[in-house]
Amino acid sequence: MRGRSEAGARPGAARRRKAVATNRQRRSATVAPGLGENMFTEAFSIIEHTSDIGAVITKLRDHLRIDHVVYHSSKLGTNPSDPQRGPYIRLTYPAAWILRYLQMGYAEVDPVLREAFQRTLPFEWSELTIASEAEASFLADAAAHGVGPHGFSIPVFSKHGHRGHFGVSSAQKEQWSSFLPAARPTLIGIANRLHRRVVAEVFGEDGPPLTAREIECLRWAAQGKSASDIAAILQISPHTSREYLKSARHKLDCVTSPQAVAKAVRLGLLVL
Amino acid sequence: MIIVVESHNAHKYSNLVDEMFRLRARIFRDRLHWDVQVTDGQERDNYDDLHPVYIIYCDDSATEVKGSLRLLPTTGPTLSRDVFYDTLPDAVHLCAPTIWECTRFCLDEKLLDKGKQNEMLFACLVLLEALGNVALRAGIESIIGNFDTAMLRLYRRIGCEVEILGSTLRFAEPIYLGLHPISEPVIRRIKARLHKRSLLLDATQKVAA
Repeated sequence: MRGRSEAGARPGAARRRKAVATNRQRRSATVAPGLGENMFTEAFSIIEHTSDIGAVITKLRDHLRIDHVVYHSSKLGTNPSDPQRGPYIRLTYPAAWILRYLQMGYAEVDPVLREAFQRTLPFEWSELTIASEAEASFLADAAAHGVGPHGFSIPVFSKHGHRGHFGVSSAQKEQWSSFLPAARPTLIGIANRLHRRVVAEVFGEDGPPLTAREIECLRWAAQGKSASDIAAILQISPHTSREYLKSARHKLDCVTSPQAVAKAVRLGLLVL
Repeated sequence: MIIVVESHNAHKYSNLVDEMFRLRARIFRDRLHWDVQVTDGQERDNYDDLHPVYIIYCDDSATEVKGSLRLLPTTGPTLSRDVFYDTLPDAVHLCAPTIWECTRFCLDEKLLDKGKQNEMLFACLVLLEALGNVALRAGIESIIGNFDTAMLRLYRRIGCEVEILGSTLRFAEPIYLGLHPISEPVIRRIKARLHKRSLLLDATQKVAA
């Protein structure tokens, strides 16, 4: 707490509560209508509680109020067209487009697919490198079938090198420009959550375990300590204590720290 | 200028990328004596095969590398885990889509000469600003990185925020694992320092000329 002594502990706590409130306001100010923390929590709940992953994709599309959602995971990781391993694909694309995609052998041409497995940073489809006439006409054909032209792709990873791709798209420019800037962080969280489920469920890869420090942070959080309190206790910076909690939430597939505490207790990782 | 290279555009910058691997060999093997693999004068490791993001600071013709760094998400395999797994078991297992790892941060050795202080500090800030811009755009909130004592002094000197999570003595000198917070205010401060440095640099160059 910038330059302020901790002498007045009580007012400090009040100020802290205020800071938390302003943080919350700040966060909700940066998200579009309907894309706040509830939106995030709801999306995670869909991924957790919908048994069929294909149905998860459809529900996420409706939940995000976007035209289309695609998830694509390659067993081998970096090579999506490896014939040895079938890719794992779930999407909301119209049946007519899927059929045409297969008939035309578009997997060889599709620049979204290619770059999604080459890139590591998230990217917009407008940033794609269009290398040939064939690729340009592919994108036009996709748009004619209601897929794109506006899209955002998030490459996702696992500790064992298992790569995937989560993408959303829209046909309407205006809807897109009001949707994407605010939805970016939510979409990145959703993409990673979904990938963790597929990697565990379909490919049997274990997620990374919680570390002693992450469990320690959750234990303090369970006692109502804020990230700043935990930082003071552990003698680390508030930012770093937030990062340990964030890492714990990611590993436990939770949006909030209270959720993560509850889940850690349920799994027997944390004994209160 | 700054060029962000990933696998989808690496073919366009193959000479520049090779230059970067050569710079890494000169810095990490020849200068810092790290135990790194060098083949044909280029330093590469397994993590270069995982489609990392390279941020390269180069001259305007994109031939000469002035500095570079490598980024990987902590949701995938990370080098920090290999280097610090026994000394820092907690920090190296930080894993979240918003926490990324920066490795092989280096500057052209010509900038490390005594008389080039201002240029070196300027180059370092240019790279950090580029890292900040890429990170903000990708929703990254923290960067974990490893570096030696000299680099740590440099970070402190240019006012780059970093918290030391721990260190290892596996190499000739202590190597630290640090965490840089990324946020708009942090990047704004870097930009302000960069602006001041560029004025300073202009002034010294005028005096020299």
